Amino acid sequence: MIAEYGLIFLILSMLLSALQFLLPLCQRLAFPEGTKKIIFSVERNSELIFYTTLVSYCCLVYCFVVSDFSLEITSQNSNSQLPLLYKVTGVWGNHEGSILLWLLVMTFFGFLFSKHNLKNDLLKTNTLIVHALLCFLISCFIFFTSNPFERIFPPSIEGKDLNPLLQDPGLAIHPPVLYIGYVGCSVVYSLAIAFLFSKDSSKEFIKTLKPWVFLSWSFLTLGIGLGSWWAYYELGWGGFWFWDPVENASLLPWLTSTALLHTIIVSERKKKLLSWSISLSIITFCLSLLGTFLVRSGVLTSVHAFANDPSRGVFILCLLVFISGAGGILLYKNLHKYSDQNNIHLLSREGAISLNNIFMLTITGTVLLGTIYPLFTDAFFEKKISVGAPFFNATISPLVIPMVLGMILGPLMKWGRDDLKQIFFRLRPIIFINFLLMLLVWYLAYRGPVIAIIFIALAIWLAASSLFEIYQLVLINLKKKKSFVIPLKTVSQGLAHFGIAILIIGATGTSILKKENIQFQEVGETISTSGYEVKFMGVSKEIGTNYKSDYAKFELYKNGEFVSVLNPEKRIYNFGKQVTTEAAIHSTLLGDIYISIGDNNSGLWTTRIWFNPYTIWIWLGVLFMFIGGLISLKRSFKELK
Amino acid sequence: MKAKHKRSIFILFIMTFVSIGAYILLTNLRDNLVFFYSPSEILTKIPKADQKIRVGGMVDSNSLERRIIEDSEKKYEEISFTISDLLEIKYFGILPDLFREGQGVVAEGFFDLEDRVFNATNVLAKHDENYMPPEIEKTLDRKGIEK
Repeated sequence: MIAEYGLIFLILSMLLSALQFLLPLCQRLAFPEGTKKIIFSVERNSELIFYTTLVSYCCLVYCFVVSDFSLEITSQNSNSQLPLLYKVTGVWGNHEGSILLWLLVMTFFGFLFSKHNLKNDLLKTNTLIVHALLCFLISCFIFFTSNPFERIFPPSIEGKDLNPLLQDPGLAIHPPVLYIGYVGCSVVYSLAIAFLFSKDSSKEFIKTLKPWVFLSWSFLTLGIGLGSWWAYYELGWGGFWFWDPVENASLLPWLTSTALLHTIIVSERKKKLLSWSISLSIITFCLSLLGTFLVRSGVLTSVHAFANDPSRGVFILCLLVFISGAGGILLYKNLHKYSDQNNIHLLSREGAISLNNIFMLTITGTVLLGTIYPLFTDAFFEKKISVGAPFFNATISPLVIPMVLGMILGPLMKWGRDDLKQIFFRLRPIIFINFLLMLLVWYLAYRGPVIAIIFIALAIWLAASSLFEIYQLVLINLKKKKSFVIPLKTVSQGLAHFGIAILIIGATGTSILKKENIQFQEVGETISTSGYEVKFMGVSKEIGTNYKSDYAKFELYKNGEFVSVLNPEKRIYNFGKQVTTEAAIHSTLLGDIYISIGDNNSGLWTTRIWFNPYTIWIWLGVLFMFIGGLISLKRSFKELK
Repeated sequence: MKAKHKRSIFILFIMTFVSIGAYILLTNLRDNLVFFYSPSEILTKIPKADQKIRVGGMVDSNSLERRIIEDSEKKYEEISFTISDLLEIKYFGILPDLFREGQGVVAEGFFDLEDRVFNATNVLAKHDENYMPPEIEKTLDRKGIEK
């Protein structure tokens, strides 16, 4: 019965959102000259939409928790033996539930937005109306193509179990975090469209837009980071990024929202690039929808696609065409309003930001091309191809170098117009010389691939200059006000740039400098790699809550001294008999020892032992970026009040 | 006149920049495309020996063999199996967790025409119970085999 209540509340939420954009529309059609005031409270209604969706979502969670296997979704994705945590996270471990979660977050953001205290009433009302339209479209999508409350007859006695790869704390929190990021983009989109309708100054629009951009950017960053972390330790392939379509899909909106993050600062301070900011707001949401389309429709070969259904793909594609089309046309019609003097001098802060924006967009285009190119050749030439990781690595790494240089130089430049001489003066020659020296020393001592050395040297330079920037600002503040107040804006920028720097170090180590050993190992045999000795101690059978496992034991020594015991596993789950590989990782700041085991052949085991230098820096970098984003978020929310 | 001059230089600069970028992008794309073949296509449209390709099909039952090969330093396990129709695939390494006989698999690597063997550098299996790589589905559809 609970499931039916869930469906009723879902329909209610759908009707309420329809009401929210239809009523004002009718009013405006009927009284074109009439008052702008809308008869009913859009704010109150946004609240109601959120509550009804929440109730509907809770009903679904309840069905999972009590293991009601008369629902299709629970019987496919849950099991009575499953630990409670995975019963709850199983709600979004499948297509239907995860889209309902999407709607929940979306309505919640509508609710949050309705609590904003804006001077410009029309902007707020319009935003809520556009947002309700988006909510309505998504709830239609749920109701017509992926209803989570579908019953099956006869009801199953036992569920088929949640995909074992998803039974993991990392993946449990990854989808909600990523969705906060994706859905945050929807508010940004609604705001941009509402602004195009209104005829007001940009000041309040940018002010309102800022916290939402920071919110979605921070959570996208964290979500992508969590997904990558999960892929690293759970898939057992030893890498952190595989240029899989699903990963690319989440990267695309991240890239454009990073660009947006920077342009709105220009729009705010210099009243320039406003039309560009609006375009980016629209593009970002379209790309997050495109990502959903790519993942859900099954048009691409992906290592982690859900089981899928073509009608869903068609629906999302129509949605995408509608949303991007509407945004594009509106922007085009209103473009003349914002065509102010967009003169930007290259040697200035806004010049550096624009240049970085161009690089960001180039990377976005490249990733997009590589991701959807296989679709085109399949549709038009009947050729099945795939674009491999080498393409992305080869085209994107050269773009990273000027971007990092821009990140080093940009914050040094002044707004408006700067002078080349002064920039060189401020370039802090010591760091530059250090940079050259380091390159030399590294090459002499290490002799790794040159590209890796360049990346690491650049990253260290960036890290140093971001830290120095923070230090300098604190110092200036200390002198001026004689108090220890940290200027939040530059700290957040410095932290995020510092995060990028150490992320580049980690990514370079893990992808270019890693060492892989694949071999057949006897019990008692020792393999040496990068200063470590790995001794294989044998494999025992263990029984877990809902799986059996081959539990291997390795002893790790460094220079003859015992370090720790590592236990990679191979699990066979009781239901579905699916096998998963659990890698064992020993992390240090200098690198990870990463072991996974393969098959057994007459007492010998295939083992894969990696040494991944600096991998931990990737996760630390993501964390720094997230913290930087949160600081900006907090500050921009304060400004709004 | 001067402003016009400036603008045309600017446009020229942008054009060169864009065309160089496009050239790099497209050549890179061409070199890194991996084409998909079905086992029968591989014998008719023979790929070059240094061209990386993907083949996909069903793993024949009872075709999986494991041999141990020893060189001066280490022992390796050589895995070989055939996919329908009878294309032999050789692979060193760990098979994916979902690799089973009688189920779909995609192998990435190089075709050796002399020995008629496909040397795989990577083997991909489907990712969950219900998922079938679209390429295999299409190959099977073409043959009219029931899934």
